[in-house]
Amino acid sequence: MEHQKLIERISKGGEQEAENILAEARQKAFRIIEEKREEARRKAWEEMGKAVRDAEAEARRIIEAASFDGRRKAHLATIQEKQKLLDQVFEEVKNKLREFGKTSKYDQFLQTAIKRSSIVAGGGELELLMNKQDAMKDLPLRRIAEEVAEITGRNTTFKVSNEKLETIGGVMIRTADGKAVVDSRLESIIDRKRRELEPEIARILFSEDTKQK
Amino acid sequence: MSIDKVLKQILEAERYAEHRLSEVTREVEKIQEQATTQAMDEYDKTYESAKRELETKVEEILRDAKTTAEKESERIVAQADVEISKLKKLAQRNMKDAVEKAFEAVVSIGD
Repeated sequence: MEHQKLIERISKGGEQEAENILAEARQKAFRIIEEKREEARRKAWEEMGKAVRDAEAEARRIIEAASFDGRRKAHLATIQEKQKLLDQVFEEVKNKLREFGKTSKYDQFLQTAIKRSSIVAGGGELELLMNKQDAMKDLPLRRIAEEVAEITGRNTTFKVSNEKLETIGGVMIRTADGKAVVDSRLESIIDRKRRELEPEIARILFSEDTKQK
Repeated sequence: MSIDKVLKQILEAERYAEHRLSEVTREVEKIQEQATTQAMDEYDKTYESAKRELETKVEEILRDAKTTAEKESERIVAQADVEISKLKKLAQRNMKDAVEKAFEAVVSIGD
């Protein structure tokens, strides 16, 4: 009976070894496949890592550009709106000046404007250009001419031009030789003064302080 | 049982074991071969899959950025609209004073 056991041991031992070898081979095969998978993932990450980083940088650039562009447009829209509101102020001023043209204070204004403009023109033989209504007014031109002559030292005379201006008021003075023109029409005064006045007008217009006028 | 017979059986058992081992060796070689082929296939599949996943991620990053950018732009425009509306209200309230100031400055040339 002993020899039977020996024979069985030989047979079983061989079988067991065979199973062990196969199990080890299968494990090794599994490891090889897993390693290759990991290697493939690593390679893909390496290759695409830069693309992802570039995309992230591009994403930041897109957002920053949109933000910058939005702020620029908003700023521009705000400036345009402010400009529109300032234009409205100066349109209102023109309307107010039209009403002013109907008052006695305007006549005083017109005489002073003629005098000052004539002094700027240097006196002499001067032509006055005004709108139709003002041209028909009985202005003390002789007195004004004397005052101008006194200041400029030149004999001064006025001639009301037949040429009538389309203006809300004021005067244009032209020397007889036509070489000098002094423009004191109300619209021109507004245009000249506007640049100088705008900061102060804007301060008043957009002031949040009800007392600060 | 005679010794010869026993020895014969032992030899047979050993031969069988050797034969079995030889079979196993062939089987191991086959497993290795299959593993190598499968590993290459898995490599390609995993690489392609990972690459597609990353490409999708890149697309997502850019798409999200565009959405965020649009929202940011809309937020700024809405904020500007509020500011402009506030400016209009202030201007409406202060218009009379501003006009008066500008008017006085223009007619002061006659003073």
